[in-house]
Amino acid sequence: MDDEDRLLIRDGFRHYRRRYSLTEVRWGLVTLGLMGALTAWVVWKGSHPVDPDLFSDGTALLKPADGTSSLPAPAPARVAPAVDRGPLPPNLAGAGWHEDKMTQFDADNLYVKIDGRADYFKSFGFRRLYGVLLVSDKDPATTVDVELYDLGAVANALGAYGGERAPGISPQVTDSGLQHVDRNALYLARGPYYIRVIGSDETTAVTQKLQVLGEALTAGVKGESLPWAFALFVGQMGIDPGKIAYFAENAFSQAAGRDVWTVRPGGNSDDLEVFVIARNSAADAAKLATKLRAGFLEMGEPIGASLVKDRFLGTLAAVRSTERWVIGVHGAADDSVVTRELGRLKDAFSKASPELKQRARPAVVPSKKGDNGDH
Amino acid sequence: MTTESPDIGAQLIEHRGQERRLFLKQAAIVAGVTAGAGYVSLAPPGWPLSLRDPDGERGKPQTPALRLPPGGFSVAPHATLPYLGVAHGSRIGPMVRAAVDAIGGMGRFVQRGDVVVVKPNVAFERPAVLGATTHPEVLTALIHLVREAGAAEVRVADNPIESPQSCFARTGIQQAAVAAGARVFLPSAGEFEMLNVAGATWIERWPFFWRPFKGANKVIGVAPVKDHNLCRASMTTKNWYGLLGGRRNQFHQDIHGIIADLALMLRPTFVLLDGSRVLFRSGPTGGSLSDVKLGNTVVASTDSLAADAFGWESLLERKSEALPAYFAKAAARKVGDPDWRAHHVKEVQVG
Repeated sequence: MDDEDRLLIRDGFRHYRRRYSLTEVRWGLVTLGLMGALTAWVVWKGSHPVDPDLFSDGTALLKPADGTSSLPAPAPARVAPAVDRGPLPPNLAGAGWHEDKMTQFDADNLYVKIDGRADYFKSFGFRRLYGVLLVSDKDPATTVDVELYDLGAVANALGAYGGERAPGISPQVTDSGLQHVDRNALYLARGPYYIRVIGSDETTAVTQKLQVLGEALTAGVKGESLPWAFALFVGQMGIDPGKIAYFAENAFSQAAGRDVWTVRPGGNSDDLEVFVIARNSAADAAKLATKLRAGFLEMGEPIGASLVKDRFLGTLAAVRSTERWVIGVHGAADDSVVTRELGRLKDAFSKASPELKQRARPAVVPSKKGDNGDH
Repeated sequence: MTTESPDIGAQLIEHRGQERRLFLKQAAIVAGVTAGAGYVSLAPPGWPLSLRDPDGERGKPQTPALRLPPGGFSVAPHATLPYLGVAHGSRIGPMVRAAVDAIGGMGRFVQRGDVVVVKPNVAFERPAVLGATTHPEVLTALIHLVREAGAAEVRVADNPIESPQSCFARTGIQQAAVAAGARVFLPSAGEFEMLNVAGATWIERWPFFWRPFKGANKVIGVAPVKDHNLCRASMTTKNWYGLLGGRRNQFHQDIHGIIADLALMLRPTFVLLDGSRVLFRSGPTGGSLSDVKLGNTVVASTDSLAADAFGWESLLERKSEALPAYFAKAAARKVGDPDWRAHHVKEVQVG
């Protein structure tokens, strides 16, 4: 029996015809081509991930060495190449000193410089850190670190500056920023930049260098006018500028506590805080005041229509809106203090110039929803 | 009209039979393969031949993991010796000796021929005077005591995130260690291994600065007393963070959890809390001398939680505040007791 006459499939894995049709061959080639393209795409994507560390658990940081052990990627490799001085003025070293190295850090690797404190600056809108180490020509152990934090907004710079200023220190107020020297260190808030200059000791060589650097940084880093809250608290209420603080977020441990200016009239050892928040409309201010009061009520009980008594501290808080502003008192010992401080705030606003009122707007741009700050 | 021949009819019958058998055979093969594939892919991971990998962990490359000795590097507890040795004074050397003597002396912990790892805090590129790192004089005094006890080798190791060379140099730790006769281990190629920490939440498998620990049988931590922006206080327990590699900064999302893990990871021979100066504000980096105050105290204990709790209360002077959460988390793992007052404490004044 020849093949053409066979009835049985002797080999179950073969078909009758001896060869594929031209159409089948074409479809097969197209399918193979598609599979090849798919494989190439998978391989390419695998070697070019969007986030190389997406699935990293640290293992990827190990690489074989001598076939027996492994190691993490050396930390210095994470430091961005230091070629750009950013806003730092040139020639900071001056006579008798030299620049040892320049560094830059962004939000992703700030921890390399200040692990554990990076989040502090991130809470103030951190963008970039520019650093330069100055070393004395006479003694290499005598050094000065200059660190310039670009925080994006003048309020953020003042907030970070205020948070690092030791209690009891009154800053020197200029028309374009705040600054002070504290033993071995110089601190400045200029425009959107917070600058700290840390000497290795408090010898004459270092303190003199701090003075020279203060002048160089003031002249070389562009400042901005102080925010409206300084005009209100200092100009209208006569409060020491050293008592002003700014919270970009989480003031009073509340999510709604954003863009808050506070003062402690009695100093840091006193619980009393007076605060003000600017909004874009009276309706926004009223909504935010309601939210903040609700936040205070979570930690206390209502006393009358406007006061809240803290359950743990026994102090009083009050918050209300006036036009586009939310004003309030927190940590007051009794209701007379609340009445007095709220009265001072309202009085300050009523006497404020139209120009100051116009300036008194949120430092942080509200979200597109434009609601009451819960963003 | 044609009629089917008897031969063809028989062939058809035989053909149907063969086709049936073939069909049954192939169906059995397909069913078997399907069942096998279903089993290996769906059977729970612990079952034989199971390839199931619901979370993708089994598919990751497995690096051999090391373990620290069972029980860590601790010595046997002593029934009568003080739990906490506290020395006050103005001279660092005598304070270190007195604090260690108070809990039994170096001879209780280090014997002739021991290989001792000393772990200072060299986290930042700051001069020691600013309080962000272990004071070099404390390290010097400790190394002298360890060598006096007959240690064959003293190794000083830490893994700062910023340039280790710069950190060791500017803190003065490098010079102090070398001058006192210790060998300094800077983290570099080939010195990290995957460590298995059974029961840890975050670092069950994590790169660890292994090389200094190779062949070592005693470990002493020596850490400054610092305010910390995230965990409120950084002392001897947090100090072990400097032995981790990899992207450890991610642990700051659960800072108290990782510190509890660190207490589980390393059970030291004893710890020394360097309270000669206290960085009481703007920690953990500090910067201004105004953030630093003299503590004039050194604390020694086999229990890092007890030493840290003492530091929190007496050196950071935060007695009125609750202990940071990591104390309770670590204590729940039975790796220490923050209630230092419940134990025998010996305080001495020296110098």
